[in-house]
Amino acid sequence: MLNTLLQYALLFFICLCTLASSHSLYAQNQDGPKRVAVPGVKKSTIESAPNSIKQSDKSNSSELKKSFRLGVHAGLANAQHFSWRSNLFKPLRLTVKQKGKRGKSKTVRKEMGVGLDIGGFQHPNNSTAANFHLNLERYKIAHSGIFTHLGLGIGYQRLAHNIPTLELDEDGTLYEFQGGRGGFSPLAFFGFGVASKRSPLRVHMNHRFFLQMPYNTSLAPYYQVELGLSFSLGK
Amino acid sequence: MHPNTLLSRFLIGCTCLAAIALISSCSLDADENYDRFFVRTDGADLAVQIDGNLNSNTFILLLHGGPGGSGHEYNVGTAMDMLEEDYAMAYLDQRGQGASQGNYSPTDVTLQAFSDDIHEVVKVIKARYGQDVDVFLMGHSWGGTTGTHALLNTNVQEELNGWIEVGGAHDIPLLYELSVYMFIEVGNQEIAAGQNVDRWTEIVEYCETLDPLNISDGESGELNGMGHEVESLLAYKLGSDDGDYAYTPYFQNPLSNLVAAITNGNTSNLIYEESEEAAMTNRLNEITIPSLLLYGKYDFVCPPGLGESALEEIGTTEKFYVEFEQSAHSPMDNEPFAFVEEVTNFVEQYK
Repeated sequence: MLNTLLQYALLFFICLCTLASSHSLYAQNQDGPKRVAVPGVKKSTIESAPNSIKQSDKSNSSELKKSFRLGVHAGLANAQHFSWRSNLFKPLRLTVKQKGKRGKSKTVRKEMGVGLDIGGFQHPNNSTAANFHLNLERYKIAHSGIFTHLGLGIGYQRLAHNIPTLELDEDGTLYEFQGGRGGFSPLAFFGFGVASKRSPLRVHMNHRFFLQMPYNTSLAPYYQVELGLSFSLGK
Repeated sequence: MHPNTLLSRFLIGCTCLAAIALISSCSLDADENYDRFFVRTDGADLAVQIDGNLNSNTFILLLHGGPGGSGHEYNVGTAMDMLEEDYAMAYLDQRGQGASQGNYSPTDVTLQAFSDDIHEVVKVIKARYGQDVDVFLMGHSWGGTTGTHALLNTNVQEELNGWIEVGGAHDIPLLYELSVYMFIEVGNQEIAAGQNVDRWTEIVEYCETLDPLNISDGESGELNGMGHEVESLLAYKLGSDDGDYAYTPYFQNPLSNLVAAITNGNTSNLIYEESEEAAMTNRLNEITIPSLLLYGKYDFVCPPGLGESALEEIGTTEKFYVEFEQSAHSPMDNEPFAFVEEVTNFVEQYK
């Protein structure tokens, strides 16, 4: 049952990615040449700090607004279970701050957006987990390309037993089936990484804290550490 | 093809491969020496692992201590390895502990619920492996509380060949009373012998301030902590398990340590009050199946006096009490060979 659900979820996710990439959303890295601006940009701000160089650059915002980022991540949940996650991030707001001193210019970018995670982990001799989360995410990317990434999300996690579940009915007949339980799953995460200056590739290290509730009489906590890559979808 | 497109397709491919790996990854398969399953009952999925000789058709269902333990932590050591050669050891994670899962109200965490779970697991073992298999119930420490409660408050005795209580806590108020006297008695002996005089003096002086018949929650926690602590003070008198036994590979561990820590703590808190009031000595005459009581001479957590009183009360002539001279709270760890010999003799006699 879980496997089927997971397969459908994956299929849906891949379709979503394909759809996103088929919209010719041209992705650019922050230092690359500026191309066509896409309508529908909600907000873009260019801020300046004291002593900084003011520079109008609308293409930066359009670049982010039109691009989706697809990420794939692998790691360990609770330091024990192999975990996997794929993430689709849609930037909704960009802030670019250009600072300049003594003729040198440095750009700090902040991206706010929404993300969709689909992932899971494998706990041998216990359960296989599948989860999805809808997140509010924020990137802050320094001029050097080093970025911090944090966010909050809500979602659902289902644990499906990967060993049999047995149940007796009132007549004493034993039934064997694949058991499992799902629950609400709030999420908080932070991470850091490096954004390549030559390609729209980012390398991530994330720390994720999420819950499954209810679980027994209260909740089950999970801490996930993972490494991954993300990439802007586009032609 | 644009490099971006290539990369995005590569990442999508990675996504698919990871998903396939996740879906296809599997657990150990059941065989003649191993089985693992959940038993669903009253909102809980109870984790049961069976290791050992399933062809023997003799099962020993082990109830862990706690509250807040797991069956998995008992599935290691020379004693269990030896028992698994001859019998099928069934390690149960009781409700809300270890790898057991579920969704139920805190009001469902009662000794009666634990008892009903035990009865259900016994019935499932018989339904899965045959109604003619022999099943013995073994409870260690707090497992002696739930095991005894199940014997007295369900019909599980009808399904069992025998009851084995190992350092069991079937009467908590009596346990604390005996514990206080034992700390004072053994403490004075150790002081006279010049062993760890400073610490034993503190322990004896503390116990002399207590009213053994009226132990508060704080005092019971202190006594329990000291009971475990003095095992190290008495290490020179205790045996140890020096065997070469295997641990479960880390990444195959059926317990998620973080999840178990939270859920064990919650369950422990929920059942604490009822457990502390559990005094079943006056009903032990209702136990009519063969019973083996195994206690360590230096068990301050569940003093051997508990076993001696149980021997008098249990309502069958087929009852035995063994006190291990070099053991504390876990004779299976202190004297594994003697422990296995006693259990094997009992099981062979009544299977």
